[in-house]
Amino acid sequence: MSPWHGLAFGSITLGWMLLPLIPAILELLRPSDVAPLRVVPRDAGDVSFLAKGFRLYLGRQMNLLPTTTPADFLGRLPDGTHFARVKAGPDVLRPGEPGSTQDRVVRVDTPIALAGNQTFLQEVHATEDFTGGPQTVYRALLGERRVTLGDRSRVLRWVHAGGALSVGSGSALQGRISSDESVTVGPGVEFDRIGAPAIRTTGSAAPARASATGAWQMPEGARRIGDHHRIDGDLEIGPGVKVTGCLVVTGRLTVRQGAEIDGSVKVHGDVTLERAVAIRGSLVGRRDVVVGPAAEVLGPVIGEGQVVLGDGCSVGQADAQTTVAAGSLKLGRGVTVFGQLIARDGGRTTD
Amino acid sequence: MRTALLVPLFIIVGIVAVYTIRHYIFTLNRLFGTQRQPYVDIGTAQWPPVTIVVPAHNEERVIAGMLDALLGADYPADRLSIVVINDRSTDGTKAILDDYARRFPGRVKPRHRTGGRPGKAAALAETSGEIETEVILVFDADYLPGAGLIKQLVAPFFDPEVGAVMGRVVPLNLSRTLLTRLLDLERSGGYQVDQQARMNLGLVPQYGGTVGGVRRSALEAVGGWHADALAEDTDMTYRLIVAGWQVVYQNRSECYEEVPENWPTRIRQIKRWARGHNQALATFAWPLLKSVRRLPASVVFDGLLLLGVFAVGPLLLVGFGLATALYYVGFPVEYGILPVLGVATYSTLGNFAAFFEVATAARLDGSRNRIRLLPFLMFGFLVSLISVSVATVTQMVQSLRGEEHHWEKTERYRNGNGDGGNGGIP
Repeated sequence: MSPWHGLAFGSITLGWMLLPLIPAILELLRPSDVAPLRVVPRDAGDVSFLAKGFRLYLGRQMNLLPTTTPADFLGRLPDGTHFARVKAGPDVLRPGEPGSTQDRVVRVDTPIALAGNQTFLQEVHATEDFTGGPQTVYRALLGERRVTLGDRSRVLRWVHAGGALSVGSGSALQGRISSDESVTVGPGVEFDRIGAPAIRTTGSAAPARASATGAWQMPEGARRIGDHHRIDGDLEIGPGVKVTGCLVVTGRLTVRQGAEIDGSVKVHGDVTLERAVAIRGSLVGRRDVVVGPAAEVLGPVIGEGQVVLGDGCSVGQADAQTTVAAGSLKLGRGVTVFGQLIARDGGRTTD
Repeated sequence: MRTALLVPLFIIVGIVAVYTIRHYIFTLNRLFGTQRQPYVDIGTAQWPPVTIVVPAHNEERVIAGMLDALLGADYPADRLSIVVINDRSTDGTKAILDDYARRFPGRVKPRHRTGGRPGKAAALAETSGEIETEVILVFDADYLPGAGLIKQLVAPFFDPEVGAVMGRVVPLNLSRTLLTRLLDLERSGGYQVDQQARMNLGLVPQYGGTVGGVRRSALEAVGGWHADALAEDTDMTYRLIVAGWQVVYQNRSECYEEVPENWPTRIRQIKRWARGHNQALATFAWPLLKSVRRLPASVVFDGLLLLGVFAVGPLLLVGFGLATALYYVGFPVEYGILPVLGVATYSTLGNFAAFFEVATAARLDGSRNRIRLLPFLMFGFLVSLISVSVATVTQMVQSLRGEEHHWEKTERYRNGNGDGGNGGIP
């Protein structure tokens, strides 16, 4: 082998080794990705965040419309978006025409009740009471006052109501649903996120529960760690007893009817709260959580698996709002949650 | 002779291989596993009173930006107070703090230290007794928390088992130098993949001493901050874990930080981390092993591996030395060992993150082009390897001589680069 062969072999080897460095050197000399990662923006967790953003956007656009624009108007916003404004003549929306599709941003400045079976492909902004008909599809809806969605409605992104929001049975609510006042959800409704001072499912609320008074003994082997007791293995708390303090249970937890825990609870296994159980703190479950009928939880309910809120149970209080966050979430009838419902894999009310 | 060289080499290769498998498990978990962030969605709750502690030493370049960010937090103002521990600053930090205290009475509470042991751990230890709120968050002075971050970091404390929480650190000044870009990649791998995978798998996420917090009752139960801890964050993590508390990592709780812009600063930083971690290894390895009856075996095992991450560097160098010695004394190492050592080396150390973790992290972050710099991480790896080894050997020598290690503070840059104080937040 001649020296030239060796040199060529060495050069090829060196070039092969340097090959992965070419993109690196190019990126170093001509940076194309040097902006800091965008961190979560302000209010990203606010259920009504998108609605507030839309209100600002539409307000800015409408301020730019000529003052001579008629009250009932079909045209474009200054940024070119197709737009309809309804004041005196709701006929603009062809409310009676089945299967009609509205491909415009719609602003409704009059109380309106739609016949249903319509599709709104762009946002709707209602400044007065808004009543949607059955089987209506909304991309997004902002109502400044009362909003009623008919049975089997479908929301693709968000709905926010300044007043009470009522959702008809069999509806599918994708994205964020919120109200500044209350949300009432009918049976068979699917949802992802709901936020309001009071969220209720239809059905009668449970009567007030009686306070627990029975004495309870911490099981043998329970260890005191800081401000909580840790119980290794399963735990059953008997009916009607009152437990004081926070608990961490590494197995399953069953709390029998009418018992009360004056503290927060963390459970590594499944949790079952029977009828009329009360927890005066938060309830955290690494797996499934079943909150029985007429039970009360004052703090957040966090379940990494499925969370079931039984008929007539309540979470939070009117003056102490909180969050129910779950993998999946099932709500019985007459359930009241003060604050937020988050179902990462989807939630549903009982049929 | 051959056996004397081969046995330690086999042990080293085995240890490094364990770390490599661990990194693969973490990366695959982030790509295909169930992701756990159970508390981050809590947006509405009865938020408890919180004290945010900011240790500060000569922070005039950054402290105002930090305070403005905290004062703008989306948290009930009557339940949020900020305690800045001015640890013998000789620049304008004191004047800035006093000005904020005057403008925001009751909300910004400077505490001027003029004596005592220097350093963050000592400052925290001295101050924590005066804090009455159940939740204590800690931020370094060069961090810029977003408005929603405080609620996110407080939310896990609704779980009574949680003793500490940690958010994600995101470099802000990455455009400055090659080093800042490499550190950005390393941080991505360390947090986006490593920390979150440990959270997903129920192992030992590490409380990092900033962008995080502790429960006061947990802190008291484990004896408070230890002033002599070189890495008070690792020290706290292990005392909590051994005592039965959980540490939570939240990947979506992100906060900007400054990373070192020059190599000497970086070397000092990583040496400090190595000494602190090694101290924690010596302190907690045995207590952790002893707690195997009370803690899941996976937690104990991962805890030991996490304690040992900075010991792997010197081990690697010893392994290289043994392999080379074997070769030159006429006992070539069998096929397989050197490649395993080489591959494992490549994928094990890059400070906290392995290289393939970094690539996965960049993909998860959706930032495609920065991954092109990955080959340059080899430089960072070599610097880390040598720095950590030097720090470890020095520490052992100092330990034998009974000498005490002195705290070294990381240099700050903001304002000095003319970005107006917000660090160029996008």
